[in-house]
Amino acid sequence: MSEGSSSAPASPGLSDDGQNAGEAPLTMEASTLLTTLPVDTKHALASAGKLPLSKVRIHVQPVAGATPLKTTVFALTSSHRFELLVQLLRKKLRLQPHESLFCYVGSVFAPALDETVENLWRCFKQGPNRELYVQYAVSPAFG
Amino acid sequence: MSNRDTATWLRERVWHASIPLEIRLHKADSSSYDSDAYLVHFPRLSYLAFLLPELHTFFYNDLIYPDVSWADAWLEYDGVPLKWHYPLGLLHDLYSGAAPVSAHDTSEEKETPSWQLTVHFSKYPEDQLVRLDTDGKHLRDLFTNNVKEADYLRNGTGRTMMFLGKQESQDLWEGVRKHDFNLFHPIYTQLMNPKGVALRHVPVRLYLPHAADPQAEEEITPGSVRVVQELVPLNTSSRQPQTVGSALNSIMGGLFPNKRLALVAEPVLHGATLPLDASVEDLMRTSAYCDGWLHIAFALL
Repeated sequence: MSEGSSSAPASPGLSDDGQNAGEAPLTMEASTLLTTLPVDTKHALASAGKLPLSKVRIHVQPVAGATPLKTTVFALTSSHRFELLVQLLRKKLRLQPHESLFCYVGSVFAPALDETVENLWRCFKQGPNRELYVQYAVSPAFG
Repeated sequence: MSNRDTATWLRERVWHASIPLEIRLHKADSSSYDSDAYLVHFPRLSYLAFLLPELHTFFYNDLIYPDVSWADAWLEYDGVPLKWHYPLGLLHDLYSGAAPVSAHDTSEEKETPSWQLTVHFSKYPEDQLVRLDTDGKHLRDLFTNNVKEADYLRNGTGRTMMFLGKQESQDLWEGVRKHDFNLFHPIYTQLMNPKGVALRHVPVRLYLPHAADPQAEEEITPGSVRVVQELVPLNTSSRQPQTVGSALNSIMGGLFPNKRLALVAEPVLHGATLPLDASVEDLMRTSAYCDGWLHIAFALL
């Protein structure tokens, strides 16, 4: 395990414009139906199961010979997709578009890019600092 | 029937459940004025991407650019591109607008009306869908990683899946691809009953619809589906078996203030309303999707 978990998490240098929020579109038919709901219901649906934290801590670890980073802990907006972390790591590692990056949770699985950071953190956070550990490699690492 | 018989019966019912599809070619890709629709009964547990080579062959003579690869095709319903790693049953529960069947429904079993989808062969929605490849590698990776994540949740290590032999992993995937129960089931049973470790959590994903933030007064903007995933232990803190109601109540108490009564929305799985008193472990063993997850949609009351 790498060090640095107690240092202040760095804020990612990628835009927080909500473009990466982990939501899929809904059909127009269903959207129309939703607008007819009472305000309380709308609110309950929009907020149900949301994490009370706006940001969560992600601890990144190089594996299989990947380059270590100076910053190992990042605070990511909880509603963002996992894709944002992958983009962030690509940028920090200065990877070219043709170079691959493989990211894993718990040294077990590679999350789909549309999974939210919030859901992954909730289910797989570890340690006293309640961090989601993400391993990264430039070639597939966990069969 | 004994419990074991009921479980086997349910498992097979779920495996064989299918949805009639009527797939038309999008007019922007069609050279003919009125091409035929492709009709198929497709398993709820399977993935739409498996249909693409056949759809390409079927619409070949109608395509403006027939030499396009089938891996450039994508499916859409009512403006929503359908995700490759969502099984058909989940997509139908989320988007078709069909009312779920409930246990109180005394009427005869009704035939599901066909779901009308559109296939596109151009303008791939890169920002919303993962790219496919003609070897089917990306689809398999998506599936395998979902199986691993479910395994990790179930036993806390993810080792059962990682220690499967090459042939067993292959059989699991081929079982899904060919929708072959005899290939699939023995490996799946190993995953559900890991040796030497206790089951800890049931892999559950909840798909909640909600309206878009009102921007214009008159115009209706598309809403969205938000996925909520949380640890669902087999038993509650008071050592009772976890039910659908107790799990929903602990994950989203605002929407499910009552463990026994749905007030705002009802959970839906495989086109049916889930009883709130059903045990989540029983559901996992009988009615999970091939990737081991209970993918639960919601119907508003």
